[in-house]
Amino acid sequence: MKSFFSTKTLMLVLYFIAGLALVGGIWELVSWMTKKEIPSPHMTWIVFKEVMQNPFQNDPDYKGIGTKLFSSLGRVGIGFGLGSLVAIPLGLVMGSNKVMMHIINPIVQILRPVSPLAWFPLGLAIFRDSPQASIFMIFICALWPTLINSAFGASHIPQDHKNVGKAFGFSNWTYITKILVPFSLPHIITGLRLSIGVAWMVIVAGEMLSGGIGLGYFVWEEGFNGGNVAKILVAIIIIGLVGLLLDKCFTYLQKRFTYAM
Amino acid sequence: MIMSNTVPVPSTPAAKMANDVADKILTPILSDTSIQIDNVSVSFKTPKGVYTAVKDISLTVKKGEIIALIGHSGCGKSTLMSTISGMVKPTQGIVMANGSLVTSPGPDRGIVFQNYSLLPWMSVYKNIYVAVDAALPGKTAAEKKELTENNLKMVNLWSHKDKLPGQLSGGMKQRVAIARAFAINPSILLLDEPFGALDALTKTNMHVELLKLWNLDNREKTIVMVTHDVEEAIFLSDRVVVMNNGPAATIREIVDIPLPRPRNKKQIVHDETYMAIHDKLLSLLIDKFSIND
Repeated sequence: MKSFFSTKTLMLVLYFIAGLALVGGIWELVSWMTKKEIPSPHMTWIVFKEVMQNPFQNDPDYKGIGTKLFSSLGRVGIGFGLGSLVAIPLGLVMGSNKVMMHIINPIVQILRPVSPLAWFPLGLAIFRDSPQASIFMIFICALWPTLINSAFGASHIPQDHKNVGKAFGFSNWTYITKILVPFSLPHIITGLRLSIGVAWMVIVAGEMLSGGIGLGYFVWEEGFNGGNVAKILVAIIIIGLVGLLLDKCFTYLQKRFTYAM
Repeated sequence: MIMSNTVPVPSTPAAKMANDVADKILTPILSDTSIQIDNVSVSFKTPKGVYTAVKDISLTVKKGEIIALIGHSGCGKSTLMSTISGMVKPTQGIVMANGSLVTSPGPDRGIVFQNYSLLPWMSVYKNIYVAVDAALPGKTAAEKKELTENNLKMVNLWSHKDKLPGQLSGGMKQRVAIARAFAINPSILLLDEPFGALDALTKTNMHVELLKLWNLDNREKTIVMVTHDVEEAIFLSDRVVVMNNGPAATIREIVDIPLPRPRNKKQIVHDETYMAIHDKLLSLLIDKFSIND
């Protein structure tokens, strides 16, 4: 009991509540200033409860918020998964081999600054299918952080570790599985964490282009067709919370695989 | 049958080559030479030009000998030892170990690095097993497990076998590194300032532990050790090789250590022979400093 209510935990909770109160206060102020055009926190809470009803309903005319959420998450999952499958090995190869680095890096540097949304029309041209084009867009933009961080990990293996492999005659496969990958793993996970953050942001924006039944399209609908600002705010909160959850998952993985050297 | 003591001097190039082969390859196999270093020079290409670390080094080490390489920082002692281990190729000259030319690291030469070099994501047990597995592919899994277990027990770390290196003290990590080198059962052990990062007390324990392990093996293993520590060099070795300063370092002098074994840490410092050797080595090392100033 004592450790749960330690001074440190109490202070952290207090700081968190203070932050919330500050945001809530500003929100209330903005709502008052715009004469309820921007709904107040209380009004938004009412709409939030309404939106959260029947979250997994999946009828042609009404799809619950849960259905929308999982629709978005599904596309992110596939795009992110495929992107990681490509980016991790490619990054490790790039990092280990100077020639490959010189070949691949310029291409990465040129393609990386391109806004992910610009890949959507290309995806449409290739797949002629909106959801698949969305996945393609996620795939492309999820590549870069993972690729770059994996390459960084693979190119920064300390000479000490390499010496162990050399001294005891590690085969190439042993070197890869027992030295290269374990050392690069924290860096790979950092890359994955950044990639999932980008992917989650992009799907919301991308769904405004592509339509469909995701959270991003929900924001677009309410914002440009419905006019129910409260629902937009609810969507924003949900998007933010999901993003936070995804980030926390990878932060946990990061901690798990970092070793005291 | 009476063997003539006079050998005719080889005259033709072919005869000379045959003589070289006999001298450098056959004789070591038949003799008790463990390591043979012949006119070895090591140079590196740097952005500023060619840097010669060591030049024209020749040294013969017998089986079961313990040799210390001593000298100032940067004098090329680690580089020289790297040519024996096979981590570095000599630019000139050859290095023979156990009768074969050294071209790359091999299971007949175990290496202990200055920075322990344990893989931090593997347990102590796995660190040793992976090395045994890679260096001795011919053995069965059961044999490898036995080697790992026995050597961990020899350094008294069996109870820590599942710990990660990050959970061990410096002395313990170095014991694991030594166990790893011993586990592949090499005939030659190469130690690069293995106790340099340890405190004085732990170092003292490690000296005794190393000699114990060497003894357990009937003093058959040849040990070459790079060190800065004069006392360590004298206590452990049969001969101390004093190097000149780099670059292009050469061997300045080889000092014999005729102290009987087993040596006792407390008693040895009062031994007159020890004190004489200690003085000599110090004057060799410090003497050079003042000249260079």
